[in-house]
Amino acid sequence: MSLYASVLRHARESAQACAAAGPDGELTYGELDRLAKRWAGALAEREIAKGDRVALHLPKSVRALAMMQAVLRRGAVYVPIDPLLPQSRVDEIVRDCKPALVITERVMNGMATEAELSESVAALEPLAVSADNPAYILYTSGSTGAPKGICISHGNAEAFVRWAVDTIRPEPDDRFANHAPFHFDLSVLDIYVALHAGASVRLIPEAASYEPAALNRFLVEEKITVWYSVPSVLQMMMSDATFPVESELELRALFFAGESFPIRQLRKLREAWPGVSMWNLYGPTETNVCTAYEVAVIAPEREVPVPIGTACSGDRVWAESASGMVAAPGEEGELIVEGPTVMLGYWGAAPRGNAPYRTGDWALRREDGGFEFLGRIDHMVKVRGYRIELGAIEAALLHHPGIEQAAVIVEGEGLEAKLVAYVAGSDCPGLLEVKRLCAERLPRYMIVDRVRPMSRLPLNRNGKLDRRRLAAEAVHG
Amino acid sequence: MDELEVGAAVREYIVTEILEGDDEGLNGQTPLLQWGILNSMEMTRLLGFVDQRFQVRIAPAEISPAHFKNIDEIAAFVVSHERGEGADGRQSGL
Repeated sequence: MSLYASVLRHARESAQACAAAGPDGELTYGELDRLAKRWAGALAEREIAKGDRVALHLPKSVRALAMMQAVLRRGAVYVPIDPLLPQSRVDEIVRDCKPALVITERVMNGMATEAELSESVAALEPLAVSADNPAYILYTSGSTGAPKGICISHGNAEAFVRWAVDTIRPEPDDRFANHAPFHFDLSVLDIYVALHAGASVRLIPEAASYEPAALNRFLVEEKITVWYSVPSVLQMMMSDATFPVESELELRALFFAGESFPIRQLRKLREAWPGVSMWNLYGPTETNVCTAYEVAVIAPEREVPVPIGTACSGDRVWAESASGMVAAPGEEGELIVEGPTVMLGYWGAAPRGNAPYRTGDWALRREDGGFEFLGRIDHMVKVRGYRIELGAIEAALLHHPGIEQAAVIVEGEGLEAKLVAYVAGSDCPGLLEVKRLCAERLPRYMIVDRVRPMSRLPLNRNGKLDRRRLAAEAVHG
Repeated sequence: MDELEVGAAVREYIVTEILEGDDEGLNGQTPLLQWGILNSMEMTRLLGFVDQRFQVRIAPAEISPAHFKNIDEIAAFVVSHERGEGADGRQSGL
């Protein structure tokens, strides 16, 4: 059992099929396996052993993807590092996970060619691993404080991939887009579900990741059949004139996760591409994807985001109410996840065994057994003595036809604390209208105090709305 | 001093001090409390403004939410208070 098994299998069975395409070219399954084998040999020569960490400080490319496979082939653990992180942050990660080797572009280019490898390492077979051996470590991006390495085993990743394969039923002629950077767990579906099926994964170049016209073109020209990204990226694509109509597309399955998709825009997308199967996935990086909801028809009266759905990937998911009990249908609570996709643990921390993972996310348990995501518990702020869920205010603001993006943050402290709404869209209303809008749907203590119109709200490296940057802009005026 | 004058001044105050200059759609009947334009802190500050501008001193104990329902009510209350009609009997049940 290894995440690498798919590459081996398809290299045997369909060596000529395209495995990956990206800014630096294409690799067939045969070429991918051969390159991974060569680099695994080079890693062996550098005495990389089973279980060692190998940090990959590389821009997104098919060669970087091949290097990930080489590390797996060697039975080692890859640690993708965002190439755009400031050096101090890279240093912190390296200090934390103590890799046996940090692979940069230069190190990769200097790796031995096949002819230079000694016979003994050139002939090395892939190292066997067990389901609970770590496969990769993902560091949480950009958060303040010390970086946390989320350690995912082969078995953790496989459990999710198996579910995705059963859901997507991928075929060798499928073409998966890869939007997310490799250090962001959305990329796990793109890469490993594609490789599992002997299909190809098409890497979106870093520079195009936030260019709506380039993304729309990519979707059409690369004949993408499976797409997975955060909603903010899809919204950006929709708001551009180049947004394609369904007849231009080969797309059959679309997944999104990582944040709530504002209902009005999702409805628009659902109506624009009626033939595409759409899924809202949920799961912190620590648990992979643990719930899923297939977005069918969206009722016209629905005002809140679609549910995150029911448990998947073999996991058990429940909500713990404020009283510490399992939430009954209609009750709210913190989502807790237990099962095969839950991480081994944070790198460097004591192993967590099979303990259930507390997500820190607040959800409503539905009558049908599924869940509706309500917000991060730590986004539930106290303003003037009231507990406030900022997401509920944002949802209310998004009802205005002229508002396309909204983020509410708290500025100031104590009695001076103010609810400040950052909004972007075609026709953003003034403060009075915003207050009226809030008053229609929210208790009085949740009515915003300030409105700051922007041309577009900032996104973080993973493409999600970047609240920290908003807060920083507020502080620095 | 009449209700028109007080109303205009209060409106001006609300637009500049609370609504950050946004006056679109604000009229004498706009529900100030219901829309969260005035809260208890803003009410107290508004009383300070009325005192300074019209020399009408109103103690917090004399007011009830009904007097701050909208700009028209505020103006009527300030004028009646200035004429010594006190809290004018319109004690609200709020």
